Amino acid sequence: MMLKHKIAFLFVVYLVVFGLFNVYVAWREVSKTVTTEALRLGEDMGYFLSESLIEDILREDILSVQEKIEDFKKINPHVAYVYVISPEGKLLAHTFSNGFPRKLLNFNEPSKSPSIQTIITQEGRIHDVSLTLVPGIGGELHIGLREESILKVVNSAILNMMLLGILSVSVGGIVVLISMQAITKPIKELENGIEKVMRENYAHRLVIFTDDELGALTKAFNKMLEELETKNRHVREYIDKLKVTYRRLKRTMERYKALVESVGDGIISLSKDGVILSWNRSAEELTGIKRLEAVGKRIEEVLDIPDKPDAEGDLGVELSLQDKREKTSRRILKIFTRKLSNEGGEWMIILRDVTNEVIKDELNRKLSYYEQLINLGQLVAWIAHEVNTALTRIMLSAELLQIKCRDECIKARVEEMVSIVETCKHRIDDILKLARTSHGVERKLLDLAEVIDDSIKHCQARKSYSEGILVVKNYEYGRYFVFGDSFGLREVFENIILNAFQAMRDGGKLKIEIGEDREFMYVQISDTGVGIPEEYLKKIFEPFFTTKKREGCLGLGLSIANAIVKAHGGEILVESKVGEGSVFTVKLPRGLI
Amino acid sequence: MISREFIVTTTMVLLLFSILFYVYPPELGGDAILVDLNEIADTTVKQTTSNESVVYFGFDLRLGPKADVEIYAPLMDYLSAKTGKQFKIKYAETYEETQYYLASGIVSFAAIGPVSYVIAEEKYGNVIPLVVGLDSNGTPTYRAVIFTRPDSSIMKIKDLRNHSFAFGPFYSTQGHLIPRIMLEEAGIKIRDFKRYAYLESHQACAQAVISGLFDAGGMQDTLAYKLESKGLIRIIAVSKPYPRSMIAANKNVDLELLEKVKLALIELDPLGKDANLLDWSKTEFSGGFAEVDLEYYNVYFDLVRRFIQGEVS
Repeated sequence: MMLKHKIAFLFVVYLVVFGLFNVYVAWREVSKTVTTEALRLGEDMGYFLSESLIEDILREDILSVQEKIEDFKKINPHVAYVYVISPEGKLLAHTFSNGFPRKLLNFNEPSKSPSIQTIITQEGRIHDVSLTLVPGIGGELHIGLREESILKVVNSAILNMMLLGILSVSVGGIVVLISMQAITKPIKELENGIEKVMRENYAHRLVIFTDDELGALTKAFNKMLEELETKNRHVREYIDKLKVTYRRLKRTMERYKALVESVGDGIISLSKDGVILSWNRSAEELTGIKRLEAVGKRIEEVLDIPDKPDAEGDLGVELSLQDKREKTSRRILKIFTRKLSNEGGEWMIILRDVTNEVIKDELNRKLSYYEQLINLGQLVAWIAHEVNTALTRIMLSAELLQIKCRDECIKARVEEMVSIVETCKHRIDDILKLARTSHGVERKLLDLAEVIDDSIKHCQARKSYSEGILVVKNYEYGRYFVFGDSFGLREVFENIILNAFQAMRDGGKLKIEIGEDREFMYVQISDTGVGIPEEYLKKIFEPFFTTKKREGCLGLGLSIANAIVKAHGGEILVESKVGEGSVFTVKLPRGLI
Repeated sequence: MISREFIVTTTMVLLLFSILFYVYPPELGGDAILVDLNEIADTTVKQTTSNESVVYFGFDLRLGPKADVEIYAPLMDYLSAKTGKQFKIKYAETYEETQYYLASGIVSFAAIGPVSYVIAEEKYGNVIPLVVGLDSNGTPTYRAVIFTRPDSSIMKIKDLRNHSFAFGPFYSTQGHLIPRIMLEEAGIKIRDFKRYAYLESHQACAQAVISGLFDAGGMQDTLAYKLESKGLIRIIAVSKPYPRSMIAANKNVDLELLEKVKLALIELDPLGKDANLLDWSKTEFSGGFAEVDLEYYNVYFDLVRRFIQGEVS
């Protein structure tokens, strides 16, 4: 809506509002005037009439009263009716031609002053004015005044008022229309000026038409334009400087970005709350996690870091990750944290690939261990050889003494001594076997089925172990050949089978089967014995580890077996479940190693 | 397109005027009621409330019905306000009627002259004087005058012989009794007049003399002095002072009401705070009222028997 239309609209609204208000006030005033006028007129008439009636009333000359009120009505055209009620409440006289209306008998009683009540009748609206007929005595005198007669007096005034109102509105409207043009011209100019400013034409200046508030506004607008022009120039200069700075910053940022991307370490920047902000190419390569997958997530969700990176320094964590390119190998990463010296409290995590260093350290450690082991083996072998020689002599002497001695008591003692020496010899043989494995094994082509059968027979010869046990063989002769040491491998299978027998003291089933693939032969020995607890599985191949110390076991059987198989280039795999049994798989290479 | 301002403004204006017209409807003449003029009443008597609380007040006609009613009407309002009872005038056309109304209790109180009191008391024996009227000097007495026209040749009472004479009402103290005493004292009998008459009021008496119907007349002093000051009459004789008119009461009136009325009348101050209550100059108590003993009016009993009752009898 245009401003001039708004002003015109407001003018019309105000005109209507005040017009209506004036009409309302005039209406009320007319209403009040009519009532007041009727009361005044009725009061005057009433006093005049009552004066003339008093003596007739006092003398109860009703005919005179009737005559006087009829005469009174005749000479007063405003009067619709007159009636008189005596002090005793009796209707004395009235001017109604068809009888006295019922409703007017107990109606509009006067108090000390005259009373007025408007009634609506068949003859129109009538104002009934009542007054005391004879002061001090009582009685009522009612005069009915026609409203139309009274309105005639005020009608001309109302008409004049309305005409004046219409004239005022018309003149006011014309004045407003003319004024509107004068008022809106500078505003239109202002509007044009604003449109030009919006098109960035700050050089435009408005024409000042008047010295009033609009003129002041136009001047202020022109001043504002001047300031805008100056500030616009400054802003442009500032923007140019900003652009140069921006380009420099951009180049610097690109350099840094290239730097970060080119380093071998993984660099990850984090927000104060641990959310990943950036993830360089090396981080992608080291972790196998793409930048898009990592950025925006919390570091704990992406990398399994045990400690929170909230302290500067070396976390001392070596993160072991599967290398996605080479699935068989793993990467070992070292993690450093650094706090960035910016206001946001951001952090940086550096991932360094230390896989080669760790492997190197481990190899060196193993090499050293093996060297010590070889030396220790040679020493043990020499000691065992010396002890064994001495034991052989003791044994020969003891057996000789046993033959020649007649004393049963001494004979029994010697027999015990021979037994102890035999046990010692067996133990030393075991140690020698273990030591010999470190020097390598003697190899020749062997039929595995034959070796296994010899082992089973040898074990079954020890009745105390094999009773109640069903042995199931699932292999055939002449099919599974390996290059190996027959005594060594027999030792291996005997150890495993004897352990199985010992695990099935209450009977069970021992199943032996042979399998192969392109590289290896697999001898699987499974029993239904008591099984091996999980915490022992890793230790069973360690020398001197045994759960049967009370039975005199030294704990070297499986160590020897493992050493023999390893010396053949194979390995022993164990699976076991407590209460269900164990499965030992001896894996041997097919060809000559 | 109609703007929001238009809708808001129009709504507000309409709402404002709706409230205004609802709260103050500009109805001409207030709340009008419907009256069917053809519905005729089957009775001509109003349903009025009981008259038990109305106390009627009578008076001796002095200046005429209308003038007297106009005098006593404000006094009724005053007494109503003071006593809590509704006081109304009971108009009586004659002195005898007033005496009867008072003695019989139709009216409880009445403004009467000493003659009416004496006759009512002697005839019915049921009336007591309550208060006596005072003149503007506070005196509880009044006088009567004998007057002629200003151009009359009659200069003294004795000159009245063989002239016509107008009295006031027969039972008027100032209009009849006292002038009779004055005439008697001057040696004039009523049979010495060429003719005489008893007129209905003091005004009528004055009018009759001024108009030439009678050569002389007897009337109350207050009105006479007023007329003389205007040059309408000439006073040829003034009487001795006699006890003034009174407000009398019926003996059976409730004592409490009696005391209230007496107190209210004594408290009236026509020369001060109550000066505008009524036209005191037209009354017999322009100075208010004073308490009175029963014996105060004893002087009148013999005079009434001689001049009033004797005449009547």
